Amino acid sequence: MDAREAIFADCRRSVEATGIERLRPLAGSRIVVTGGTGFVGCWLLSLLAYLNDHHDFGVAATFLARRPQRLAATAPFLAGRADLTPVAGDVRQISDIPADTDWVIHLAGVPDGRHHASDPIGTASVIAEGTLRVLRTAEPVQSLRGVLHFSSGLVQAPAPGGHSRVDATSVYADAKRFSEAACAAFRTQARLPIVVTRPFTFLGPFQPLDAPWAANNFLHSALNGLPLKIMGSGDAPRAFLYGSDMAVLALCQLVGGENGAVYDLGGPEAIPVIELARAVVAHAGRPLEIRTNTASRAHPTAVLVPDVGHSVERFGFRPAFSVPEAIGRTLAWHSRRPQAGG
Amino acid sequence: MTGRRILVSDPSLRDGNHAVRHQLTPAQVAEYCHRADAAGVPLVEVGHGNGLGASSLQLGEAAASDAELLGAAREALRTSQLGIHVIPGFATIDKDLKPALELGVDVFRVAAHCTEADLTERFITFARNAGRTAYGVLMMSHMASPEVLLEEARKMEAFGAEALIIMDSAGYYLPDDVRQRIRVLVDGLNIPVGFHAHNNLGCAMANSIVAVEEGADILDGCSRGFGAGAGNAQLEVMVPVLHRLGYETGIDLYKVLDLATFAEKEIMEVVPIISSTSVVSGLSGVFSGFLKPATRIANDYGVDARDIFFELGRRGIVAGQEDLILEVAQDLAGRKAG
Repeated sequence: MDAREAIFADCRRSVEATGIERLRPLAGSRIVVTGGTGFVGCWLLSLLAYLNDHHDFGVAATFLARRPQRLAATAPFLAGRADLTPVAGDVRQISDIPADTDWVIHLAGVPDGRHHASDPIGTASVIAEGTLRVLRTAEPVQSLRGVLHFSSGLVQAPAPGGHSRVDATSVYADAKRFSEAACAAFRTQARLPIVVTRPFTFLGPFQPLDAPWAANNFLHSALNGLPLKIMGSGDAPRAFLYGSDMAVLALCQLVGGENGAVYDLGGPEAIPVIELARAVVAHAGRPLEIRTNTASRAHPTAVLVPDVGHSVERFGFRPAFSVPEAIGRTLAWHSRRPQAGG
Repeated sequence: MTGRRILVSDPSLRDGNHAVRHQLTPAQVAEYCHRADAAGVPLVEVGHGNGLGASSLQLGEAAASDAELLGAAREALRTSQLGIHVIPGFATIDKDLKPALELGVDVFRVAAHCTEADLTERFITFARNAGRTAYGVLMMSHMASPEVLLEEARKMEAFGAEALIIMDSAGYYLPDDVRQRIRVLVDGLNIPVGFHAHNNLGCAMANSIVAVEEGADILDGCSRGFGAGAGNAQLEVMVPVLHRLGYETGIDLYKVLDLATFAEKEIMEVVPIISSTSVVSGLSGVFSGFLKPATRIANDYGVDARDIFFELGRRGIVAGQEDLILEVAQDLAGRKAG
């Protein structure tokens, strides 16, 4: 099975689990996606391509990215498609979007904590100025039916030890809080139809394995025969959602979300991180050590778990993939792409 | 708290290299590592005083290459982990870190001046992705407030550091200085915190104990204090003191005492003392590694080394700026002549 077939098969299962009718409002529409070459962007574009190829949705998507050519490396089967139009640029400098745009999904931003720590000014700028810019360009579009703004699950996270000072590593979450405030302002004052979603933790193809999240680290270690390292005791709960399920839920929130609502985007069931590590080891097919790393005065475990109850109720959302299945499919994906594992 | 495990890391063969002008030989390293391993020292740090890739005319040319020193240590260490000190800029990933991986280094202690944590990102990421342990180390930590230290430490944590060590590189701290900083770091980080003392003001051991009381999980200790300037906290004292306070180290008392005796007789030229210049170095907050070059240059120019230190402290000099010692000495000599 090639990459396109594998990804489209995942999209098919996720669409069937929740029901394609939920996504019908997308048919024949134009959608603008900012930041289309990251994990979320690749999955959204894959799902739109699948809907066009297999369900004749006729969606025209324009995706904005600083380096849209990255799509050819990450998801080569999406590059060059007539229904996915790349636009190169910085989200802070866009001047307009197509006049017949129906939907806007604002993703642009780097969720990598290392980047936030080393470039907090850039982080704050892209989120704050980028969000304001996108909302301003959306404001005059008469055909606009909805904006889905990607915030972050981290806006709910407390700092360790109740640390209240804003510093480089908290800039991302604080900027995302501001971006939600900006959305509320544009909804109230400019009457833009806006839904906010807060992404949590995901598994699946298109995630770089050197990204600093537990799941990526575990997969990287499993593929390279290294010990799996857990920052902490491993009891922190996380609710992982597979990429194609994430894309279906995000599009449901876009087209069916209540104006002004804030939804969570993540898995329905939380598991301790150490359980995820054990599941990865089980899939790896070879014995691998799991190491925890705790300080003697450990802080209370951060609970970063989404509440997808509203989405289940409103959209009939049903994830198609369990966590073990998600691990297996992600490992298989990276095993076919040896350069991504090293 | 009793029964708590403290990871005692031994940088004698790295910090001590300052004290012998980086002239440690592979044979000495192998002998010391063999004994440290037998004593149950969990982590032994090896290399040039300024870390991997630092052998140079400016910082001092080492008697043996990094590869020779690390190779000798790796051969001798069976259960103890092998650690290195890495300062980005002195070391590079291709030239130094990749060979260190091949040589079997377990722990990469990636260090930066206390306000420059940004420089460590690629190095920490590299070590982590290679499956090794990466610590973040903030040097000359007395030059930053506790709040700034925490900001920098949180950056290192975000980069993937698995522990955070602050160094009292100048031997400047009094116990309350350490208490304040370790408390802020332990409260604000999710990773273990460690402390590396210098003994310029005679507080290395007291400062180390205070650090542990405030929640530090890692302490650096050197045999007979073998380290730059007035030396470090003494390993063979630290271990029994920790045991008496109820902490566990996993280190055998008699063997660590014998290790210190071996180091004194076979490796060290002199046991570090708190010289008058060391006191001034500590008071002025200048890196302990400057003691030897500053003393030598003071003699060359006929000026008082203590004046050099106070002037260096006034200028806020940091490790790697050894050339400024000469400049200061020339200025002082000029003023004296004028």
